[in-house]
Amino acid sequence: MAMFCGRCGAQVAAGAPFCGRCGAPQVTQAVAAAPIYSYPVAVPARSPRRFGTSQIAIAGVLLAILAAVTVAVTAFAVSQAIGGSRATCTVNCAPKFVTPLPESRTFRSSAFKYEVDYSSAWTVRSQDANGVLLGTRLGTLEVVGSRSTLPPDQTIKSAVAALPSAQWQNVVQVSDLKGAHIGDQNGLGAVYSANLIGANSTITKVQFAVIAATRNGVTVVIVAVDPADLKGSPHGIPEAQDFDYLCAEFRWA
Amino acid sequence: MTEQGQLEGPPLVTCPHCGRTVPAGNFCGHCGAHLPSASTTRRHAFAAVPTERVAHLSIISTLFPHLPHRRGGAFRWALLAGGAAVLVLAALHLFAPATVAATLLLPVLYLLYLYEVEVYEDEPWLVIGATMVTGAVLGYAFTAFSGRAVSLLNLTGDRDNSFVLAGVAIPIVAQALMLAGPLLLYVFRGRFREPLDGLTFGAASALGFTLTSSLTKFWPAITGSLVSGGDPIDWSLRLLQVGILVSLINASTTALVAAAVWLQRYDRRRISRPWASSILATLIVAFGAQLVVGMLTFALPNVATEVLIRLVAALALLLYVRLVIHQALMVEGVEHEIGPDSPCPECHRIVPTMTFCPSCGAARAAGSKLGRARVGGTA
Repeated sequence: MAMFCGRCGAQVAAGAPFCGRCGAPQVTQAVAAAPIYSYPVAVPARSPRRFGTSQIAIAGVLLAILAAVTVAVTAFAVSQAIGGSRATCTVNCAPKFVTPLPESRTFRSSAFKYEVDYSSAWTVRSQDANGVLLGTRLGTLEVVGSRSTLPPDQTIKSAVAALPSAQWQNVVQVSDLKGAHIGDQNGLGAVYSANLIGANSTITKVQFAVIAATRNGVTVVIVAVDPADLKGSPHGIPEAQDFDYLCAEFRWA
Repeated sequence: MTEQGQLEGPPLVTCPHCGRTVPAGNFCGHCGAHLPSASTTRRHAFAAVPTERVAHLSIISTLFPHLPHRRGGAFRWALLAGGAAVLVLAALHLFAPATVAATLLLPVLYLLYLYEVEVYEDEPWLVIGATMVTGAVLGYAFTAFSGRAVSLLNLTGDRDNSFVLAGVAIPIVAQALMLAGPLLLYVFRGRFREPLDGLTFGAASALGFTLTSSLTKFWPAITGSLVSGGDPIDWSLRLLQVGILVSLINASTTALVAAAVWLQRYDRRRISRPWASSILATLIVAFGAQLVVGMLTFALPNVATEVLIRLVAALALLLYVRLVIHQALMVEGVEHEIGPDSPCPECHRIVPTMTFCPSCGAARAAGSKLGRARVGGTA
C-alpha cells in the first residue's frame, strides 16, 4: 500500500522512518496497520422537506420553468412575426437633392479607374486596387469593383449570399431601393435587415443597402451598413443621406 | 444502528497528522487526513464528495458542493435535459426560445440548489437579493451601457478600440461587478462564515450577472422572428457558449475569489495555508482567466475556436475551484469535539459528529445546512 508523509503529503517508502522530502518522522505505521473500523449504515429516513421536494420534482420544476419561458418567448415571437411592425418604404426614397460635404476625400480605384468622394470624417479601414472599406460615423460603407458578367440583380443576391453566416444572422430583404444609381449610371438596389453578431457575442440589429450598377463591363457594388433605426430614418438607415451623397459623387472611368 | 455499534462504539486512535485522539475509521474526524495512508492532501477523496478525486470533472459536485452526492443525480439529469431541449429548439431553427432556455438553464438550477441546501439559513431574500438579483441588475446595466459602445465599434469596423473594450476592459470590469454582491454579504453578514458560503454566493452572483448580460446581448435575436435563418450547428455552438461555458467560467472565477475571501476570515492558521487558495492567487487566476479568454476570443473570432477556448478555460477553472474547495474544507476546526452519533449526510453511516466523517471523510461543512441543523452538528 502506498504511504504518504503526514506533513507534506509526499509518498514515502513503506517502513521508512523519515519523509524523504521534508524529513518528518513517520509514525503512522501503527495506525495504518490497524483494521479499519466499519460504521453501521443508517436506516434510510424520509427527509422532512417542507414541500416534499424529491429528485423528480426538482427536475420537473426546472423543466416546467424552462417550458413556461419557452412558450412565453415563442408567443411573443409569433406575435412579432404576425403583427410585424416593420415599416416598409412606400414612396420613392432615393434622394432628389444632395448636400455637398464641407470637406471630402477621394478614393481612386487603380484597377477600374473609378473615383468616389467621401466625407473626411470617415476612416479608411482597408483599401486595394478594386475598392475601399470606410468606417462611417455609425457604420461601414464598402465600394468594390469587379469584371462580373452577372446582371445587377444577381450581383446583389450573390453579394448578400457571400456575407459570412456566422456573423450575419436572419438576413431578410425589407424593400427594393427605388431610383438606385451609382454616379450617373442607373442600377438596382435593395435594403435588408439582419442581426450582426460582433465582438463579445453582442448582437446588433442592422439595416443595410446593397446597390449594383454596370458600365463598360465594370460592375460596382456598394454595401452600406447602419444600426437599424426604423422610426427616425428612411429605410431605417440613419446615414442614408450621406450614403446617397457618395453614390451621387461617384465618377466612372 | 447495530446493537454492537451502540454498545462498543469505535475505538480511539491518534491521528498521525494532527495528533488528536479521534474515533477510528478511514479518515480523521478532526483534520480529515486519510488514516490508512496518513495522507493530509488526500487527493483521492474530494472533501465535499469523497467518492470523487479532487481532480475530477463534475459541474454539479464543484459548483453545488453543499448538495449531498445522492441528490446530485436529479440536478445532473435536469442539466442534461435542459441542454437537450436547447439543442432540439436550435435544430428546429427556433433560435429565440433556444437562446432563452440556454441562458436560463444554469441560473434556474442554482436557485433550486439554494433552496435545496438552504445555504441562506433564515434570510433567503437577503442572500438571493445580494447575490443573484444584484448580479442580474448589474449585468443588465453594465451590458446595456457597454453594449452600445461595442455595437458601434463593431459596425464601424474599429478593431483596435474594439479589442481594448471587448477584449480587455469589459471582462475585467464585469468580473469586478460580479464580486460586488458577495462582498456586500461578507461585510454586512459576518455570520455566513464558512468558505463554502462565499463560494456559493460568488457562483450565484455570477450566474445572475451572466443571465441578464446574455439576454441583453442576444435581445435582437430573442425579439426577432420565431423561425430564423442561420446554421443550427452554428447556433448550437453559440448557445453552448452562452448557456453553459460563459456561465461556468464566470461562476468559477467569482466563486474562487469569494471562497478565498471567506477562507481568509475563517482560517486562523494563515501561514500554513496552501498558496492556491490565497486571495492573491485566486484574484490572479480569476482576472487572468477572464482577460486571456476575452483577448483570445476576440483575436480568433470563429465560433468553433471560441467554443474550444472557453471549453478549455471552463474545465481548467472547474478543477481549480475543486482544489480551492478541498483546501478550504481541509482547514482544521478550531474546537476538537467528538459529538453524538448521527448519520453522515454523504455516506449515511452512523458516525460521531465531527468536522469530518470518520468513515467517508466528507466535511460536515459541505453538507446542507438543513441537515446539519437537524442532527445538531458542531461543524
